[in-house]
Amino acid sequence: MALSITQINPMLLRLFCMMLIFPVFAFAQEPSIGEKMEEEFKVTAIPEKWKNESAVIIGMKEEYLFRRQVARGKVTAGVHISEYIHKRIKLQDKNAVDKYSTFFFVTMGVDGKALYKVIKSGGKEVDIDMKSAIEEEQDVPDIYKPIYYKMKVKSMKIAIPDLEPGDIIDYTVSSALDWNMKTEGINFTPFIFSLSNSYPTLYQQYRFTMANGMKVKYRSYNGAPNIKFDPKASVYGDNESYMSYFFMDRDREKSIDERWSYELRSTPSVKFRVVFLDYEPGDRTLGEATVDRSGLDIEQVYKGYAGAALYNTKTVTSLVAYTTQYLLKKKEEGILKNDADIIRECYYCLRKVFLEMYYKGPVHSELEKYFTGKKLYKKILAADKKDLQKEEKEDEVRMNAVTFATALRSSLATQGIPAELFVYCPRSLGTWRDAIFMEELDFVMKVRIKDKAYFLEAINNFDAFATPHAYLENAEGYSIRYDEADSYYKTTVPATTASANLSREEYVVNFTDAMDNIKVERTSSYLGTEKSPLIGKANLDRAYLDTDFVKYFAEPLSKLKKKDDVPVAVNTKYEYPDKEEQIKERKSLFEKELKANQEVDQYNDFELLQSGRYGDTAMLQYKERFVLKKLISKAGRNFIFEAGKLIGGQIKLEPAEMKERQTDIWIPSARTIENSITINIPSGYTVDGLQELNMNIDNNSGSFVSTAKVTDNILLITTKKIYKNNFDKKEAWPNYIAFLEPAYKLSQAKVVLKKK
Amino acid sequence: MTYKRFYPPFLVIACTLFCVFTGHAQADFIGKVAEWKAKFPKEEVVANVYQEVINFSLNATPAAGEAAVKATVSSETVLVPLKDFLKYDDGLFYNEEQSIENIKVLNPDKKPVVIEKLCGDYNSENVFHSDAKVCMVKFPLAEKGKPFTYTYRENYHDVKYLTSFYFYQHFPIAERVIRFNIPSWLEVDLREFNFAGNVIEKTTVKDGDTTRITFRMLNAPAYKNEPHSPNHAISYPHIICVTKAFTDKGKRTVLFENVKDLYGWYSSVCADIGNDPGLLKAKVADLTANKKTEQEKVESIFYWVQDNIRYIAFENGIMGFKPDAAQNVFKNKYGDCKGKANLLKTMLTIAGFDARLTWIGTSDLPYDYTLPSLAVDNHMICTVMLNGKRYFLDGTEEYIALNDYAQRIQGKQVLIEDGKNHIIDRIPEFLPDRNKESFTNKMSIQDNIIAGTATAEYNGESKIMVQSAFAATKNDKKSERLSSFLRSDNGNIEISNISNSDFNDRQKPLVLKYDYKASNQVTKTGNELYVIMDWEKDFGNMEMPADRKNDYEFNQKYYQATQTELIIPEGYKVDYIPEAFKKSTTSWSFEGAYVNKGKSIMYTKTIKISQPILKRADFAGWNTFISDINKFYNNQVILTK
Repeated sequence: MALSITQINPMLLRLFCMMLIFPVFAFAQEPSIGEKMEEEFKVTAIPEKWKNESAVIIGMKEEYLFRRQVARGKVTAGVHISEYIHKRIKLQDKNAVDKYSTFFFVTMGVDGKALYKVIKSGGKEVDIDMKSAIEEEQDVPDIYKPIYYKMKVKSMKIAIPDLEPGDIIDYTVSSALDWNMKTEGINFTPFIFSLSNSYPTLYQQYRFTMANGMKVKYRSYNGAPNIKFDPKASVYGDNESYMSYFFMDRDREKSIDERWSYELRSTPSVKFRVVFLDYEPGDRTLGEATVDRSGLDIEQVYKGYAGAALYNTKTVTSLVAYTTQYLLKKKEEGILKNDADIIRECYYCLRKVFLEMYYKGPVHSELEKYFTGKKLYKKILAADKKDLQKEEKEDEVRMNAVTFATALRSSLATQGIPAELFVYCPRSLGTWRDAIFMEELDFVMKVRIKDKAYFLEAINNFDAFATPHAYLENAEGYSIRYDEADSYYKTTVPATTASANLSREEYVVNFTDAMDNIKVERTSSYLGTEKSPLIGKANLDRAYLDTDFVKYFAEPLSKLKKKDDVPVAVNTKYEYPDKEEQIKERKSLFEKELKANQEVDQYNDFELLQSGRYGDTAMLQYKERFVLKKLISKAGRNFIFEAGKLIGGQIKLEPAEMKERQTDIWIPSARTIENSITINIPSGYTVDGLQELNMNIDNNSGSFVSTAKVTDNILLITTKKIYKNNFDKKEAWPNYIAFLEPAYKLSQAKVVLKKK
Repeated sequence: MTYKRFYPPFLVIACTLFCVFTGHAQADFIGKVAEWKAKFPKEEVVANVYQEVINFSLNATPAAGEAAVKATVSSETVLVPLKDFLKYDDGLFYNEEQSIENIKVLNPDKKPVVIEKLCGDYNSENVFHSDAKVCMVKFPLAEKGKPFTYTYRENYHDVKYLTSFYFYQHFPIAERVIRFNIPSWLEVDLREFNFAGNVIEKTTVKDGDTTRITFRMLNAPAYKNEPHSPNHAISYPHIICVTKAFTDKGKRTVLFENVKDLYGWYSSVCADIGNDPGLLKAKVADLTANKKTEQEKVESIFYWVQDNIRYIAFENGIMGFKPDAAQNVFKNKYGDCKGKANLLKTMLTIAGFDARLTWIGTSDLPYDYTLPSLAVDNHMICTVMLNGKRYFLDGTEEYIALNDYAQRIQGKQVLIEDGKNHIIDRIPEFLPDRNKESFTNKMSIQDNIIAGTATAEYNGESKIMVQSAFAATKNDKKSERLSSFLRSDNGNIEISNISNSDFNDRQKPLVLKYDYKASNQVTKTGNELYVIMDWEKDFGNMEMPADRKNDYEFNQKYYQATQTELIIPEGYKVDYIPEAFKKSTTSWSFEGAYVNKGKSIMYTKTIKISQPILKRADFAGWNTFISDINKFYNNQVILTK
């Protein structure tokens, strides 16, 4: 008798419907994850060396299972990714108890679940009732996120009861998600991380079990373990096999927080990603899953990036047409005498058109402002923001990197100057050889003339031509040429010199009549990377736009007047309605900047002398007038003046830093910091105590030189600190101590003004 | 604070559009922009008008659990941008007792504006779970000077939750209006707070059966968020709406007429907590075993709760007022102020003491129990009667001893349960001496470096601050952080050989002894040594900035006493010592002196800050005081050969 739909048991009906909705895995032997708990997790005793740590990770395991989805007997483009996380942590103090007092979790997929138990110091195991978990609308903290985390999943939190120091917490989180290779690609999410965690770790394991046709791209660095094949955990089938690979690590000390350190280059770290070889539905001829330890394929890099400077849009057309018109005009006028002039002025003219479009024209939109074509790159590096984030300046807008690359290449091509696209691996991630994912790469434009090469980042308001960026220092990569097909070559961005990155502050100091404060006139000059954090603030009034718009004005070409062309504004004036407010705001920002280092009684005046936006080596320069307090003490009839404080905040190494350095030293760039302090000695006084102000320390890593002399009742103090390198081996750390400590000492030095 | 409150967060404009606003026609304010920019510098948006109108309704036949009197608050804000093309953001808070609806924005042409709205849970830093929700509202403003009218309505399902109305907002307001339309069947008491110093006009108009009471303030500045600002209830003008009673069909029903009614409601909420003392008996027996005196027993229970029950707050719905059952808090080892107070009460009762739940408004609130409103308190503690005296036990404190009270509850009125009655009492208030910090140093000069030994002793709040911070620090960082604390993060100081008294002792002072070396405090010129004997310069950086808008709340009352002896180096004699300095007011005092004792110089310094809040009106006097202190600090000793 046939069953009508109403006669079927509701449970059976639901199961039947689920079978229609969800693909069925029709293999005899199913691979699984999360079933085995290693002996290492059962440890309860903590090694003596870690008894004083806040917490110790006893065991940490992450397993991933990649299965191809099958529908009606045929494999599809879908991949079912299962994730299993198991952590066991001993909490050894109140800080750790407070930190783990709340457990956050997300579970994805129908089988997703979280289990939690507390193992009391006596050995009793207490299961936490996960039903009391509360839905959390806010994002879960990163430490609790599964790596295949997706937005819009339900986040949960639970307050862990009866938790106290000495307890061991043990939790597992299982999740699963479906990945459509047709829409999401055949490369699954890449991961880069250090094996050093916030707490010391006794045991950690990462495991990948993959269906046929998959591979795990894997590299280990700085002594991290290699990945191994696990035949016992692999499952062999007639149609489909699942190969299991894993890497494990033991006895790992916690992460080190040292000044000037790149964690990925200094600590044992790994990069991995599972990829699929092909995604033709129904293809069952693919081989068993493997490990791929290869680096980047330059052919692939070329294919992936060459188009970045060939992406023509209407905006690009307008940019190029205008710039070409301008360059022709200036060449005719004889202003552009050589290729170097053309390249520089091409860059500045493009900048003008972009800024004019942005501030006055049709590309003034949020999307244009933020879409850089480097989203994924930024995402992958998000974990290392501290070192890698490109500094955003006040009032900054930046051109889309692809638009810039195409516009610059095209504009220079019209002048017969080839431009190249330089694809590089930022040095915080490693050398080119260390890179294995395309997402690790970034690009800038490179233009060569004779013996010189310019590296040009996408235009923003403030970068001068060929501005050095710390993230480009010694970056290795390939330069893609466009003057012939399939042409590229390996190259490295040279490190900038200490003199190219200059900070110079010149003080003229007068004492107030009451001898309680000092009146200061300070002229500050900055070049290169030293200029970067200040230039946006200094140009907050946008007066530079007027200069740009006038200087780089060219009559629009009539042929551009087509209906669809992006119009280019011809008005050379920029009316900034908030200019006066911004001038006040600028003064207030620089006052705040000064207050970070000094006790300011009055901040009187800020005057921009050079915008720092033009020329080959554009200097940012401004003059300030202010009154400082609390630098003068009295002693009987005499005064003690803390002159050293004027050289600004100097690094004071912490006691722990005076000991042995554990990681190599990655300085953002070589640089020079100069101070010149002219002090008018008040009449009726002489100055004493200068012997402490003369120093001269010079070694291979840096130097600090200071002088103090009195001439015609003027005390002149000069200091010069140079960081000579952007990198040193950790063994060179004593060199740094040798010049950093005297610089700090000088910043604390005082002179005595003696009543005659 | 751990207790659910129903006054809206200060940034919220909790209003609704129920009545028709007629008084504020859309106009062009371009002509006012320059004036407002001058009057409210740094502000980007000004409200030409921000009006709240409060209406009440009677539900004659309320269903079970439903309130008889409800209220709506309708708001209209005429926002005028002072810059072109700004985006306006606002956060509208609501919860189970109040809802928000009819959020609308009209542009200068009176056309509706599309609003971006994102609503969800509101997570407060100190609350694990609550029913607080927030709607983030965002909409674009256009050209400067062109007004946008922003309206919404807030519904209070029970009038008891309608409490506070503030005049200031996060934007400046040219005309601030709060109007209560009080029907004849309702008795309302509108209590005014912090009106002094503000020009607020109050008018009362009888309109048929309705009395319209209107408060109007012109040119209300924007609230400024500054560190160390006292709670806005302390400083800012506001009204608390007390709905005392209503009359329906000749029958008068009391709501919150006085504290008795407030206590009655609290008492009803706490009537069915569901405590099961049986589950706590063994622990209480364990804690009180071998304790010789009643006081020791109380201390044992009180300290165990402080040390073992983590602070995790739940404020969802009625749980904002009702403690979790004692056995749950005991089992979970976590709870909020209510849960801890109830656990203390239950454990102490098992131990044979008379212990009571106690409501209190902390120092964040300026009210006492003459105000019968849910706004009056924000915290719960436990009172225990011992040897004829009341002791107030705050389970949320750390390291506090019996009969010692944190600054935040000192001097505050308490409402103690007493069956059907209640007791009003007050927490004792202490002088700054309770928090005394004393520093004794002996130092000498070797090769232009000062070396010495020091003893630091901490009491009261100072001691608890050090104890709590030390306990919360990771084990492996404790030594480093303690050293850093003792040198006040001064790079010129090195600390060594630290020894300490018991960090867990609640009764005795915390004593830290250590050796130190101080660089760059001696300047040598020829035969002279210029010596800084006090590099701490306590309070020297505490000038109040001229543009500070809020009063300043200190962490505590202070009493610091320093005594430093400098041994004169061999071959040197004292050439100059600074003059003594003394200055004293009722709120603060400083006394410092150097004495030449022949072979040494004795430096002494005493600072007292007796009032925890420094009023803006006192800033000038305070800054003169700090300036005078700095003159004393900036005076060095001279030793000569």
